[in-house]
Amino acid sequence: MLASSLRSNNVSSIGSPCDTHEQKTKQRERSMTPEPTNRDDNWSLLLQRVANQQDRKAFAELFEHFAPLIKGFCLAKPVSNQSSSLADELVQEVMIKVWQKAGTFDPRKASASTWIYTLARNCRIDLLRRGNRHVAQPLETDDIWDTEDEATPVTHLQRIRDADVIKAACSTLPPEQLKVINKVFVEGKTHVEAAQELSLPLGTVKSRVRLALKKLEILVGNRANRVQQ
Amino acid sequence: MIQHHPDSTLLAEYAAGSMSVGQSMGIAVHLHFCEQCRAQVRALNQLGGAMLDTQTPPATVEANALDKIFNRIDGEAPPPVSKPAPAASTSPRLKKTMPPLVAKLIGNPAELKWQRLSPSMKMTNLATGQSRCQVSLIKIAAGGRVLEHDHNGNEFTIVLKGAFSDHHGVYQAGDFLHNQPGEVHTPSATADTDCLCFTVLDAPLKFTGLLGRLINPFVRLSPS
Repeated sequence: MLASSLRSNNVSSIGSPCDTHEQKTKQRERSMTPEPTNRDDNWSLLLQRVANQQDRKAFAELFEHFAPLIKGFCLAKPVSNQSSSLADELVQEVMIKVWQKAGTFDPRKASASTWIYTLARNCRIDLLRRGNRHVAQPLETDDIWDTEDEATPVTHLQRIRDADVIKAACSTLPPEQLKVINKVFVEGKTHVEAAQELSLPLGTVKSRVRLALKKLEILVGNRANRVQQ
Repeated sequence: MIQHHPDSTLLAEYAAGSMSVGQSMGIAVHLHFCEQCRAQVRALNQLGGAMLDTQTPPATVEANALDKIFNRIDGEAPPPVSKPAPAASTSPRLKKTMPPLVAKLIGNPAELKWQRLSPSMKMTNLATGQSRCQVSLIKIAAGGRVLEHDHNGNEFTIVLKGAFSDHHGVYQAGDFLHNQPGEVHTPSATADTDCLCFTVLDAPLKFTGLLGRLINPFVRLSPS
């Protein structure tokens, strides 16, 4: 239902993953391109080389791009005893997981940056849960936040928007919406915490999140129709 | 067919990892049943990936970080490809009939301590290793009624077996119900079969009926 109509025409975006997004205005154009080129594909190819050939050069390229982002992601959610060395430890944990689990990465299910995000998110949660380690933990973080979605066969996957289209669309969000999304996803704040920090009613924060998700066109199924402007 | 889903803002908090661990367990149980919400979470994860890639301020990593990683890789045995087998204490029957996460939390069903709250309702708290929310299983006997109650905080209810209804509708296996303060309801199980639910509470319930008001002083939140 969402599939082809949401694919943007980003043919001109072939190039290295580090290219800047130069055609924000073209995002609105829709096309029926069956296999749009995805700049994130370069990261996917590197991940597959790590999986298949234990390619250290490919891994080093991934490291160079993602390690500083993972460290920034860790520092963005301050925990007690937060230190730069703890953030470096998290970078180690995440990148080791990237190396070990590269074989489970399926480019048909997620883009490389999405997959690495889920690993980083789970490692950050692990770090926060560690404070509670004196109590028995019957569940691993991966039991609660599944990073592989094994339950869904690829043939049943609803196609979702290209990671690159979403990346470009983020910069078109109104600043107040981007700010809220940033608080929730990067700083790991709940809506209640975001509302307190921004001195906004909780309802306003929630509606900004809903509007942002709608504008980014990532609401699946009939959720997309329920958001009021 | 699942009719009742978590709001997109709840799924966003879950996908962002900002939601509490206890509440996230409730979302994960619903996701086990609901392909549509799994698709929504995949889409939200894409947003997470985009935010990591474009909105996260990069921080300089320690100089020898990559060498350290390669040293660790060289020093370690090849990684296990498959996931480790689930804890042996989980009964095989349970694994077949329950979402894996619930089966793990239950462990050995014989060890659960059920507490009778009314003639038709039993409850047992699950040990989850977090201290914010009370995570419980609730059993309502076929046709049985739960005391009318309001909510001091958030209550997530996911039906595991059977069905119950309140004035908003009927909830069946996999359905997700989020109640907030001010939402008074009197759930009752459908007449044909017992109903088993997974619930997550971040504040005690507030019973509102005549009998309920008598027991309110004894209702406490017990996270475990």
